[in-house]
This record gives sequence, C-alpha cells and structure tokens, in this order.
Amino acid sequence: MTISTAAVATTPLSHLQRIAGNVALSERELCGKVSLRGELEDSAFVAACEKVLGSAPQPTLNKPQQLAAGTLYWIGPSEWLLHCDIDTAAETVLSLQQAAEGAHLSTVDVSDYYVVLRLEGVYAREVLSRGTPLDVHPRSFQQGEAVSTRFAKCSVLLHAHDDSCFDLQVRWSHAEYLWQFIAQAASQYN
Amino acid sequence: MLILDCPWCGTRDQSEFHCHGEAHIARPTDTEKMDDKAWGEYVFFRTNPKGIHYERWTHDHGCKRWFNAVRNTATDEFLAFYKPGEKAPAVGSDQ
Ligand SMILES: [Zn+2]
Repeated sequence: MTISTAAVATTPLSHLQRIAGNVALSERELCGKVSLRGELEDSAFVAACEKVLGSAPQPTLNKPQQLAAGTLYWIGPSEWLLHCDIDTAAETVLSLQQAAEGAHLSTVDVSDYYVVLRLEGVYAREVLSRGTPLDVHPRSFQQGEAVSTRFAKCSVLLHAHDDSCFDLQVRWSHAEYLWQFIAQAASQYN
Repeated sequence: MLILDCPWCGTRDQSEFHCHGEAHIARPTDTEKMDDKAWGEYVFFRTNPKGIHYERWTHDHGCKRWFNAVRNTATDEFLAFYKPGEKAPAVGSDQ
C-alpha cells in the first residue's frame, strides 16, 4: 500500500448542494489567506510589505486594497488579511518573515482557517439583512466595500463585489452553520 | 438595543460587542504586601453607580479591539468612546 503525502484540500461543505435561483449560494474555491500584523509607524514593517506585497498596507477601513500579491483586507488597527493564490500563500509568509528582519511583524498562513461562501442574486441583500445587524442597504454598504461584522452567531468578513454578489468569509467550523442559515433565509426567494 | 461607536470601525450594533465591566481599575503594584481585604477589594468590588459609568468593551465581531466607553447606567445613553491609553473624558455630571 502506498501512502500519499500530498496535501489534499478538503472542505466542510462538500456534502452540500450549491443553491441556484434568485438567490444563489456556493462555496468559493480555496484561496490563500495570510494574516499580517505590524505598525504603520514602523518603517521597516512598511518596507517589508512594499517589497513582498507590492505596496504598503493602508488603514483603509472597509476598502480592500488590490495589490500585486492579492487582495488586502483591513481587519483592525495594525492588522490585515491577504487573500491570494493558494499556491503562493506559504511563500508569501516566508518572504515577509525574511524581509522583516528587524521589523516588528507577525504573519501566519491561515488559508485553511477560513471558508468563503458566495451569495449572489437580485435578493442577495435581502438575505444578508436576515442575518447581520449591519446596514446592508446600498446607500451604506457599497460595491467594493468589505466589513467585519456579525452574521447570525458567526463573525464574518463580508465583501460586496457588486450590487448582487457578496462573499462571506467565515471560520471553517462555523461554515456549515452559516450555510444552513443562509440556505433557509434564501428558500423563500427561490 | 444599543448602538456603539467603535473608535476604529464606527457605528455598529450592540450585538457585535461585549462589555467587560468597569474601566480604569489599576492593577496594584505592591501585591506582596496586600492582605485578603485589599485583594478582595481589587478583584471583586466595583463602584456600580447609578449614572455615569466608565467601562471597557471589545468589538468582538468587528476589529476585535478593546476600547472604553462612558455610559449612563440609568438611561443607557452613551456619552463618549475612547481608545485604550487615552485620557478618560469628563462628561455629564462629572464636569
Ligand atoms: Zn471595531
């Protein structure tokens, strides 16, 4: 018997059927996720980020940055999360650690800590409003914005790609609960 | 339902936050000299006022950071929000 040592990406949602219709729900393909912490006042931290990510992180609340390395989300003061190609995540962490010589920088590959759900359709905002206290009306939650908030009992990073397409990043172990909550909320529109 | 202003994220619903009780309680520095009464007062006793209360909160579902708030415990009205390390603002009847 041969034992394969190759890493296999699994998902907590593989047994669920994607939902189609006025409200569509699916799981996004696994992407790389890299957490990043450091102080913008620290020039060595900023230099390391510029070198590896292509640009310095910004304290841009709600506005993800499109960098050479991927999409960078603001998580909190001195904290960001990079979404990148799954094949480059480990390398990005290593490069940041090497470039950070002397800088106070913390970076961890958290690719398998989160799952990203995609909610689409003309009634997607209505479904969102069933679970989050955030004002998801387009006047306050606009296309291109991303916000960390609550959805049902989960913490989610909610990203509005456009008026009818949203991504919800959630912890792996909460993913099925979140899926079932959204599936039930969506059922009245499909 | 309460609405809070996170010093970093802005206005959010109470259900994104958690309150951690009274703020500005300094940890004693001379702990080796403290008797049980002094420890009891530090660990358990709080001012518990009716009115202006300085308290600690975390934005659990948002930026996950600690901050301070001033709340009137009788009316549930928030009077100020400020970051850790910032000087506690004088508000309302404290002025
Ligand atoms: Zn916050």
